[in-house]
Amino acid sequence: MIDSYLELKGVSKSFPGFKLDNISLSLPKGYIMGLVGPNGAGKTTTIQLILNMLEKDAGEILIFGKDNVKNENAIKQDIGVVFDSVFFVDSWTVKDTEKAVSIFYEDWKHEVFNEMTKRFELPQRKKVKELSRGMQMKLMLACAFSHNAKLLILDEPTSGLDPVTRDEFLEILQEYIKDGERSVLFSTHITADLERVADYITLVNQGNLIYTGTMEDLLGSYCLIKGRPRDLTAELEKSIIGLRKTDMSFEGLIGAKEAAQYRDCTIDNATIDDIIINVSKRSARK
Amino acid sequence: MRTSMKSIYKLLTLDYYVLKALFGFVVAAILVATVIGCVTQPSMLIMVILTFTAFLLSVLFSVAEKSNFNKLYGTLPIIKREIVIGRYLFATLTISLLSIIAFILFCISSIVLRANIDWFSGAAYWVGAFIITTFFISIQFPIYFKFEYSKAMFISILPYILFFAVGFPVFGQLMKQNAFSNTVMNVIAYFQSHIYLMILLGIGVGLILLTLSCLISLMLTKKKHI
Repeated sequence: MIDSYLELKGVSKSFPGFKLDNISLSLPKGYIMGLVGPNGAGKTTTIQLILNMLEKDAGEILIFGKDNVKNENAIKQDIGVVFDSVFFVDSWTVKDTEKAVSIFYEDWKHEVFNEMTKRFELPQRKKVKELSRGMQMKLMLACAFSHNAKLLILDEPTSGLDPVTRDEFLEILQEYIKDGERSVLFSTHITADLERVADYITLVNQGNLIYTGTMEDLLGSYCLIKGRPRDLTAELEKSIIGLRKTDMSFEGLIGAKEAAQYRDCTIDNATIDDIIINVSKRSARK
Repeated sequence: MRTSMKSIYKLLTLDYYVLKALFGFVVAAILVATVIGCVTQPSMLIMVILTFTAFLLSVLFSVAEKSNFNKLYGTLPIIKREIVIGRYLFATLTISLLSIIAFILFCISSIVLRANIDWFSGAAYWVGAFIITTFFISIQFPIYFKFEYSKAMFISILPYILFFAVGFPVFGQLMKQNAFSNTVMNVIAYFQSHIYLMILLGIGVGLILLTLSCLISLMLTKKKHI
């Protein structure tokens, strides 16, 4: 019995000018994990390493408990991937796409593909280039669902989608994991999506792992602190992440445990966006 | 990870679906080649169709790049080695199929226009075209695998330039020398009486070029994200 569908242990990859350093995470079966961070944080590199599209320099990647390189073919039978841009020939019709992709999967179900395309209102004879971005995403999703993928990997799938399509997309994901046998790794910088669907969060910034764990723990471990300049002691200044000061006030992110000592300041719950923004600022200052 | 013939077969099918989108283009090129063959000499259409094949196969890389196939390959249950071997096998099959079509058209146009078939001329043009096509491909494919098509397009035109702009004039100059032209004539005379040997030699040289090129591509893509 495998509890964790995806596990990264100390994974590193260097490029000229960028290093993804010592990334570890664990995605249990039946949950959605958000992979978040600003642009250029290393989200896509992490996904490319998971899919063995890039060769890692160090570390270990286990998918369904198996090494992702040694068992690449077998593992990919059970993985569905949706990237931020469509990867089918634009003159293919929806039907051609199924024909071209289905041959690679042992467990491809034509009925499921038909059902998904009907649900997503994807006409079989419509060409890929004639589909809107949202429809192209749905076509990739239909392909991912049709081979009964246990792990869905999504790289910025909602960027550029209108709010209605995004909402529909998130509903589909929630429905997808409801039997408890499937998991989703969802890379995005639109954190509002994650607050709705994600159970786990992995936060990366400039190639470094900032946090990995439950969403609840992440949101519970940071607070937003605001106050007047006279409340900003040297000790408090050191504790604040991403401090912003004006003549009238200051604000920033602070650890939830430390926040309790500063009763003169205003303490608010932090959102994922607040955490990303302030953590990025700290890294930029370094 | 071991290379699987099953996966390579699936990749051949995928390449076929990519090429299917270019069927109209292929038919138009064959028609143009037939017209050229009728205007000049029937064996010329074999040369035109086969050199067009090298161009057609490079268009395959262009369509794959435009369609983000690097991402598609990353999601499919296949390995890099299979993608490279699959593409070379697909090229070999395409050249073989278009060779058959070219040869049939050569026979038909020879009968219609000249009432007889010059087998030696047909075979010689086919061997020449086959070697030229495989030479072009064997230079272009490793470049396309190593770099992106859009970046490598200009470098990959080099074999055409070398062949047509440099090779032909140099050959023309050499033919003016008696010793060289005598040797060429002797070789032609030898192959005229040994057509099968010429065909086997052509196939051998072409396949060696493709095999060496495939090995180079495999080496170049070992650490590269396709």
